[in-house]
Amino acid sequence: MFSYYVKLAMISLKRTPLLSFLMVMLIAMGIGATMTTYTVNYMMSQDPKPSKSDNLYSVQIDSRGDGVDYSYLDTIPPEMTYQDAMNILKSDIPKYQAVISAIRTTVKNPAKYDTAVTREVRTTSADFFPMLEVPFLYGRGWDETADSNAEQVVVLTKQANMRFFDGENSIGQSLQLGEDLYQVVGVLDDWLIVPKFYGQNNAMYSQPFDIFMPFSTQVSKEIFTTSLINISCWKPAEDESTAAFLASECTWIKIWAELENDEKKQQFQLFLDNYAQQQQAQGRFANRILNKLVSVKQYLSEEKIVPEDSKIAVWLAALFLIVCLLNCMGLMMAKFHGKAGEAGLRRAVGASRQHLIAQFSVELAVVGFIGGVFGLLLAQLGLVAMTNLYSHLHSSLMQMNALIVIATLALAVVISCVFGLIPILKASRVQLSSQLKSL
Amino acid sequence: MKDLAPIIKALFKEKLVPFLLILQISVTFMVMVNAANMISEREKLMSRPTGVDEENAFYVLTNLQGPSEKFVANLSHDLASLRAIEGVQVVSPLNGVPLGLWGNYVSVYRNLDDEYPIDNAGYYGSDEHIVENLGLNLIAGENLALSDTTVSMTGNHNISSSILITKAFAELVSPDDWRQAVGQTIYTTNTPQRIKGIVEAMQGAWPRWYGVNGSIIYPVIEVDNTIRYFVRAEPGQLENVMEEVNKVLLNTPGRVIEKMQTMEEVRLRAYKDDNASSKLLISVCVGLLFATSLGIYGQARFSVNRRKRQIGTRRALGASKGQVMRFFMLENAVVSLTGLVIGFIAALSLSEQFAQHFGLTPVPLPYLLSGMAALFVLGQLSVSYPALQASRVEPAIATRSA
Repeated sequence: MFSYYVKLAMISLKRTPLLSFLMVMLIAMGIGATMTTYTVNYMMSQDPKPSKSDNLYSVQIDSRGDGVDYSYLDTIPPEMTYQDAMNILKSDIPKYQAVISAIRTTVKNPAKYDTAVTREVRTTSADFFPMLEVPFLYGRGWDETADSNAEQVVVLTKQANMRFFDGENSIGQSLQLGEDLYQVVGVLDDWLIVPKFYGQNNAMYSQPFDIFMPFSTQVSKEIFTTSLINISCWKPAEDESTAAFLASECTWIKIWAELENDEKKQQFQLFLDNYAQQQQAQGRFANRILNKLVSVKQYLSEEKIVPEDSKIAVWLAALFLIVCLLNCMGLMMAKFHGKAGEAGLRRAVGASRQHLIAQFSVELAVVGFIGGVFGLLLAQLGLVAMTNLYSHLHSSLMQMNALIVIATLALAVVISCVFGLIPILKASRVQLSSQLKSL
Repeated sequence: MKDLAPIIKALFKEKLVPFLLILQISVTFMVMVNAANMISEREKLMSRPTGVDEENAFYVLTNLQGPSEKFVANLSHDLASLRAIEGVQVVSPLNGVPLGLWGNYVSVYRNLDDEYPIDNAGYYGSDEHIVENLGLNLIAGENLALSDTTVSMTGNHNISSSILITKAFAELVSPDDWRQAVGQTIYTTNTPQRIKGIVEAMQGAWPRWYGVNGSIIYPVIEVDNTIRYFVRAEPGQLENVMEEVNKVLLNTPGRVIEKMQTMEEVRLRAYKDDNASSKLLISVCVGLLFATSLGIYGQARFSVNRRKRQIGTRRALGASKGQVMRFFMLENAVVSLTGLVIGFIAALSLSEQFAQHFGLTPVPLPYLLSGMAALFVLGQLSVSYPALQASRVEPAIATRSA
């Protein structure tokens, strides 16, 4: 029966080409606009690491001293001081724990005749790679001994390996950062994490940095790039030396930790609170004791990562879809009005009202489906346009996944039937006698 | 006008179709007016002056060759060679650029032991040429002098100096009369700073920051392994000067030029999101208007086709072409006005919601009124062709059997 109705629907569409075309185009326009904006919003607000994002926490402690007024007292910066970071890293409660910072430096393959280029380098600790399950093409991340000895090792992304080593297995080769040589210990496979929650807020929708190196090496080499981190000091450092900066109350290091369950989380929270009390006994942390473990999801929403514009755009596009559908509904009325004769005839030869409703629903579902397909095409065009408009964001944000494609088609079919409900019911309520007379 | 009663009667009899059209018009109106408001808000935001002579200015971000004892000497060498380039008006080191998206801010206190700051202000560190370099407008007090300038090897902003502040910040320092701020001493990072002059405007680094218009300029050159030179070229010389600056800088061995950006590019980048969403909003509006006028046209055509016999009968009974046309125009006017009145209320409540959740300003009345007028005209235009067709129906059709 279903295939028969589909066949009838096709015949009916062909009989009123202009009307059908308008209906399909209206649905396609509405769906296209909605899905374009929705895709961007969805991709922006997606879970960066679904397998374990609930267990990943930003470790935040309030190290600010007495007399420091912050009108937003409940929030503490996600960065901490060097001394606190080093002390907290000693805890073995978290399964993995990584410091996050960044530097910018000149990079060059010393074996090649090539000019140096400037690159941003992620400085972190060994746990970063297993914690985020970063895929490796060659070699692997450095280990904890490299961290504690401040070894001069680097991990490259696939792109960086392509740039500096022409994509060959570069494990064991040297790379020059600034004036020093670093040994390549690992090369990543294609790796993208969206949003890139662990770094700077303004770079969450960009590629991971090209090069990774141990944070301890950054400190021992005394390389600092203030423009890549948030530094805030409630008290200036004693003097201008690096040692004074490291001992200062300036917060600039992020820590992310993986805590597998609530028990671990409570343990770690207790550890932090004890630590803060210790520090208070030593005359620091005069303000108060406030330590937080903020999950990835909460972190992203607190830091307002998804721009509000993008949410508003989804709402406006949804309203646009409704206007298109209302419009379409009017056209459906017109269409079914012209089909009263056919409906009457079918009723006369024995079709029940339910049959008619089924037939008309299939017809609208077919219209909706075709509209959905065209809508998908329009949405692809829309996404290309968005990629150009938002060229500073990562282009993977502007791509639909299979789920969204299926959801789009389903949405198109369902809404056409929902908005067609009244016209269908009206058309199926045809009076037999009046229609048969005129035939 | 005597057609009005039968039109309303007919609309009530139809119910669904006119109701759909009314709903459609009201939603269109609601979205359009709010979108237009959002676009104009953005325009206002983007048109605030940075205070900089944007047309002729650019900056270059580069490195100073180490070791650190040589930074200052290298800086002086760079500045001297850049200033010697033909077409360069002024060059200064500058720690950040207005709207550059990266910068510093400081909390400013009236007295040393105050609990609450006056407010936060954008922080700029440069030398005594800064006013001339950026093309700032000094409106009170004195300009910085060579003797004011100091050099700092770290970003610790605890050097006492004579500073310039923007008018917006002077109004916070001295709320009664901003001119009185000149000569006052304020405290940043526990260090006294004397206000030497006031410039009209110099925006901070972040366009969306509440304190973007309040900035402080310190005559403190921060020396680091990276340095930013801000260059103002003679009018019309920008491209040549940029090329020349690039060449001159690269004469130093070990030089890496990280970035070179004109102020116009900085502005474009800073407002990229805003520009993009304005364009998105405009396309939604265009789509909406298109869909709505299509709807009005389609409905009118449909109803003309259905009422052909009625129209013929009216014509046969003596109605003129104009009367028939007027009938359809009036019908559309009734539907449009109803939709617009509902849309007016809906637009106000949506604007209320936006104001609450997203902090947008409510839609002003002139927008609502001109939006209504525009949609009304659009409706009349859309209906005019089907109405014209209706007026061309032959009276003879009434005599034919259906």
